[in-house]
Amino acid sequence: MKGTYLGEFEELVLLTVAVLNGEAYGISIAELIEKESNRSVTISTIHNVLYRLEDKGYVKSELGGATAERGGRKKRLFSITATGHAVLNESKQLRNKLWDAMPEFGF
Amino acid sequence: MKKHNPPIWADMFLEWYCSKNYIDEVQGDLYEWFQLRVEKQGLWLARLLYFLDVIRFMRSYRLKSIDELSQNSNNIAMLHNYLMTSWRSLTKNKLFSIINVSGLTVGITAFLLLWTYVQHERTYDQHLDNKENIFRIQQDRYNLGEITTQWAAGCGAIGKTLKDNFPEVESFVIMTNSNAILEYNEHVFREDATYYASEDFFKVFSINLIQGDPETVLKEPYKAVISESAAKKYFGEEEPIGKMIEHNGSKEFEIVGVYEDLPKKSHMQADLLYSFSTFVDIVENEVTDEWNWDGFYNYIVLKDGTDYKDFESKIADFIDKERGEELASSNEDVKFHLQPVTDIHLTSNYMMEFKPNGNEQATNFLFIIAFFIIIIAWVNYINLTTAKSMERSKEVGIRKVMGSMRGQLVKQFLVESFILNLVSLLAALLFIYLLLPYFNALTGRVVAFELLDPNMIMLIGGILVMGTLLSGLYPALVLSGFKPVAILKGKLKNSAGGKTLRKGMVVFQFFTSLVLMVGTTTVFYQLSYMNSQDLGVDINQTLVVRGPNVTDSLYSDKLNVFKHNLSAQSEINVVTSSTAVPGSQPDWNAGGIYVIGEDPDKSQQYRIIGGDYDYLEAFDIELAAGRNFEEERTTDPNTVILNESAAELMGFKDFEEALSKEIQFWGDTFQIVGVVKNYHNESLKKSFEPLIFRLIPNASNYYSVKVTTNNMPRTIATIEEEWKAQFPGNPFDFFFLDDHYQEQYKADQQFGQVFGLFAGLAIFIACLGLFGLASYMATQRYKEISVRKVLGATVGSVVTLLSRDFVILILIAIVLAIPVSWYVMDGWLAEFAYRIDMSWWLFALPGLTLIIIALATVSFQTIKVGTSNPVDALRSE
Repeated sequence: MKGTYLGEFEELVLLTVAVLNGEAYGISIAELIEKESNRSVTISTIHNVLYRLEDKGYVKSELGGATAERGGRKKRLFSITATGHAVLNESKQLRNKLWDAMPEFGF
Repeated sequence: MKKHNPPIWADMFLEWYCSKNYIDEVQGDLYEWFQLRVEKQGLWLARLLYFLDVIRFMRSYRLKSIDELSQNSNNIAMLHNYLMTSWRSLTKNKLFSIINVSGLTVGITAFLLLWTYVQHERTYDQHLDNKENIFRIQQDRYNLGEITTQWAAGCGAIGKTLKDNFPEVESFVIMTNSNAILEYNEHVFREDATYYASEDFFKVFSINLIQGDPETVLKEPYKAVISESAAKKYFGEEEPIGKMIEHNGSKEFEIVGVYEDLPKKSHMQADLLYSFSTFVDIVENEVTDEWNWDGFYNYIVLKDGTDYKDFESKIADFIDKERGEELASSNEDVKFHLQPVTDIHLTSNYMMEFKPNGNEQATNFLFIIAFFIIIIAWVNYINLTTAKSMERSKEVGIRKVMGSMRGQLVKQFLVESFILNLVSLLAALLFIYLLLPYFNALTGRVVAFELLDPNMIMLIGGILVMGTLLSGLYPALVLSGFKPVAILKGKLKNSAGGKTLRKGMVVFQFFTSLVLMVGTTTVFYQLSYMNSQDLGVDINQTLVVRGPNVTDSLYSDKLNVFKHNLSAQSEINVVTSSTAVPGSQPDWNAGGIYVIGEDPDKSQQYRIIGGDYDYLEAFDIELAAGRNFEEERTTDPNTVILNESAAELMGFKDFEEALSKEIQFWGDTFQIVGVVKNYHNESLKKSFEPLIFRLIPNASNYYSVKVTTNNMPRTIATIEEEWKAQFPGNPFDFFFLDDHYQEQYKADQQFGQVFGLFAGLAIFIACLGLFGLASYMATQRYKEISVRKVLGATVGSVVTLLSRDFVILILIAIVLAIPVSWYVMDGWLAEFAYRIDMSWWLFALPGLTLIIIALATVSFQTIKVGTSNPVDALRSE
């Protein structure tokens, strides 16, 4: 189903938003992803993904937290919605189920 | 830590495009990210990446919306409103809009076409790198203080002498024409544009030498360089370098270079260049010492920064010092002028030009016409719009009451005018592309219209802005100046001042049209006058074959056989050979001729025509005294015949008196045996030149064949057959003498046609305006007319009433146009030695035509109103 489909990078961003718990905005998300996954990201991609997630109803946002180093500009702070949680959960369940079904290998 | 800033341009760009819904988060995040990057990756890279990020953020949803834009500025909302109102008003008055647009379109089309043509004419030889410093030396010869000959190609010595004596002269080139029949492996062509040129040719003229070394190609004798297209013609795909090409069947030249064809926009035309040292070898004369041998193009390159006018006077002093005595002893004088190479095309029209040049006067005429036409078109717009102002005054009143500022109203009318001008301009560009080939055919030039040329873009932009302002500003100011209360009370009448101005502009339009019409009529009348004059020489039914260049020792015999065999044909009357034919200036110019027994210091210059025994008779040139050359008299090769003009120049009052005299001609004595009546050897632009006829029975330049035939192709075939039998190896080139004679008037004919065309356009535009005004006037006076009709006025009287005003205006225009066009056209006619007088009907005819055209235009509307049923107009109210 297209509406609920979650891309790999979208899932990553959504998870990060959940982790940051109310402190998620473009830069903090980008930093965390870079730190945890060691991949370099572009800030405009993060923004685009966030708007897409918002359209799908997985995150919600509000403005706030202007600082001097932002040139007095406000942040758009994202937080995860219940639907977002449910989707993440579903995705995790699916993976667990598939992991469990995997035959033992003799590593 | 020092705080670093992201690149300001990128930031400005971001703020420019980004909607305010997104700017906070985007710019904020970018700033933070930038600071992190500066620490990690350094300032320079961070700035670059910042810029890239700004571009990456440019997504359509982040762009400012139209609403957002217009919220920022009321102007944009107003502009939207102006556009809408303009569109409504234009579509509401369809007739007016169409008249305006067609008038402007025709005007702009005509203007741009003429402009392009004039620019073309004015920018010859711009391809030369060193064009500012290249000059051609033009030579005037004087005798007894009077100019006798003016040469494009002067004497042999001048170029080299200047180079040797003046440090200002960097280099020089000497060139002279070679009439040649060239042959390579069965490819035989007559080449008129081949020249001997000295070795610095490629140094002076930056003509691209594709093959060969520019320093040396023209050094050695019997070497030649060939143009790309001529190389194709002779050698096809073969390698031209090293080929031997045969010249007049007697000499061979080795091709040592190939050059890019000269551009069409050059005063020079040369398909092949031989080394000048060849010429020196052939004539066994250094040439560059010859002060009295004319016919050599001398070009010099002056050092940067030399004032050529100064240098010209230095030449005059130098000639005076070195040659003054010698010249004075024979009452002669010679003056040299420097022609900047880029001016030659428009300003030079002397003996032995490379090809017929342009005419500066005609070009300037057309330039002025261009401006008049576009002004007429703009005037139309002003007239129609102010005339319509009554109808729009209510709109203006309401707008003002609703709080419109005057400036806003002005803007509204300007926008309207801008739209009209823009539409017309686009239509005009389309027309230009469609019409350019026809225009080129008319002018005989290959003019290119380059829309993307920066100058053209500026010009078009200028037309748009000027058109909008000129045609829009006055109506805008008039309309916006109305007092709202007066308008809405219905008290407003068109002001008297506005009416006068409108009338003045109609007068201007018709004045211009009439001047153009008189001009056209005069040009064509002068042309037909010249064609209808008795030339004194019979050029009809004459076929001229250009004589053979490739000849052998038996040439004279062969020529006699040729003449004899052809004359035996029933459809051929006579064949005569000569050095010149009517219709062009004889190439042979001789000075130092005087009557024996008179003072040799009074020697003069004459044009010489050499011909056989039949020449005068064949062309039906009448004798005034004496006799023709006669074959029986063995002494006749030492006789000459003069024309009346030459006899007068020698000082004979009575032509009989001349017959006993002898003249001195280049060291030989010739007996005068006859005087022929003056005839027009050249166009009627020129007065009769002094001619001397010499007996040269085997002259080889032209063979004129007088025919009486019903079957021209067969006759031509007969001549060609005989030609091939006697002169193999020579191409058979012929022309008809009357066509050749007409060629002299070609430029004037083209001028007349172009003039006529644009006169027609001017009248068309003026009539469009008149039509608009008349229809407006008719509606304005609809009720008045209806009342008159109810009271018993006839259709005729109504039409007369309505037309009267226009006729008065046109009469004023005619009165003003007469002196102006008289002055201008009399100046144009001054160029012609034989010319019409500016008679009254040259003005009456165009004037009458104009009145008729104008009345016809107006009558569409007046008759419509005049014949309408008055009830229709009067029942409502």
